[in-house]
Amino acid sequence: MEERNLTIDLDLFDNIYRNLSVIWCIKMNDIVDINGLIIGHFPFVDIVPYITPFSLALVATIVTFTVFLAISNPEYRSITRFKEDVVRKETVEKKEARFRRFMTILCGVALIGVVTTGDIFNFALFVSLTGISNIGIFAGIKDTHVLDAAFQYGLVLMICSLPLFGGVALILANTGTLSLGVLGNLPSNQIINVGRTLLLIGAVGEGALAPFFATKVEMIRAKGAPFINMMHLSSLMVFTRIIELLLILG
Amino acid sequence: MIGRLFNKLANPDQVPKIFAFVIIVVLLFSLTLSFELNQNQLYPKPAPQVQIELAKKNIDISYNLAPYNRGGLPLDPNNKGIVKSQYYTPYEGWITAYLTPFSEWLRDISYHLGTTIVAHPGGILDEILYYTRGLDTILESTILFAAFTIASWVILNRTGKK
Repeated sequence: MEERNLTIDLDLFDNIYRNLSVIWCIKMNDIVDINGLIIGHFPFVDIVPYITPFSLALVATIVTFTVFLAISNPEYRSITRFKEDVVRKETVEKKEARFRRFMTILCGVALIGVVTTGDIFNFALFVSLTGISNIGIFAGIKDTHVLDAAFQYGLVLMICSLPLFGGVALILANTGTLSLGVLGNLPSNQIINVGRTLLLIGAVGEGALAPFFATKVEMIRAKGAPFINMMHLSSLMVFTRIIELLLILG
Repeated sequence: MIGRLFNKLANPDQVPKIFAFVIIVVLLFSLTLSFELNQNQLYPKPAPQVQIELAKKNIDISYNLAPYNRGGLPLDPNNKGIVKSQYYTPYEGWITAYLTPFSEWLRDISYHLGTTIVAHPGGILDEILYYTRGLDTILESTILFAAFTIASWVILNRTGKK
C-alpha cells in the first residue's frame, strides 16, 4: 500500500505540473497582451500567482516602500501657537508606533498578493485584507475627528464586501472558473460585465479611491506620518490592479 | 449646485450613504438581466429536496448526508467521490467520503447531518476548503485575526479607563 502510494505521488506531481503549465502558458493571450510575457508562476492548486515584468515592477515598489516604512521612526511634529513663545514637539507613543508598523507590514504583504495573484476570489480576499490593515493603521489614533472619519471609512469597508464578493460570485456562476488564465480567453457577456462593475465598486471602496476619499482626507490629518503613507500606496496598487483585472476579464 | 454637491461629498458622514446608494442602483440595474448558470459546475446528483426525500425512505444510508452526498470511498482511486473543482487535481474525490467516527454515528441516527456540515470535521469540508481552495482558508482566517488584533489593541489601550 505504502509503496504504491509513493510511486503514484511522483507520477502525479509530474502530471499536475504538466497540466497546469499547459493551461498557463498556451492560453494566456489576454494577460500576455496587457502585461507582457509571464516570467514565472507557482503551479499549486489554487495558489497561482504569476509574475510579469509589469507586476515585478509593482512588487519591487511595494517591497522597497514597505522596508523603508518598517525601519523608519514616527515623525516629530512641531506645533507653535500664536502669542506663545514655545515650540512643542509631538509624536506618537512607542507602543502605538509599533502596532502601526505591524499593520503597515501586513498591508505590504497583502498588496504583494493583490498585484500577483492569478485567482479572482483570492484577489477579493487580498483586497479585503488591505482594507482592514489600512483601518488598523488608523485605529490607535486619539484625535476625535480622525476616529470619526475612520469609523465612516470602516462602514464603507463593510459595505463593499458585498459588491466585491458578489461580483466574483457572479463571474464564477456564469463561467464556472475563477482562474484568470482561463477567464482571459472567455468572451465577455452581460453577467460578466455586471460582475466587473461590482468588482470595480468594491475595489474603489476598499482601496479608498477617488470619488469616495473624503474620509481619507480627514484621516490623513493624523500624526505619525510615515505609516500613514501606506494608505496612498495601497490605493495606487489596488487601482492599478483592478484596471488590469477588468481589462483581462473583458 | 455643483459646489453644494461637492460640499456634501466632502462630509465623511455622507460617504457610506452615497456609496450604498450607488451599489443599490447597480444591483437594481443588474436585476433586469437574464441570468444563466454554468452547467458544468452543477453536481450530477438529485436535487437537495429529492435527496432528503430519498433519505427518509431509508434506501441508502449515504443519503442521510443530503444535500452533501457525493458518494465514493475514502482513499480509493477507483471509487472517487463526485467533485467538480475549478482547478485540476489528480487527488480529486479521494477523501470526499471520509467521516470521523462521531460523524458516522450522527449520520446513522439522523437525517440532518448534511445541513450541519460546517460544524463537524469530515472529508467533504476538507476537500472543498483545504484541498482545492487552500489559500482561501488561510486568507480568510488572516483577515479575521487582523480584525481581532485591531479590536483587542483598541480595547486594551482605550483612553478613559476606570
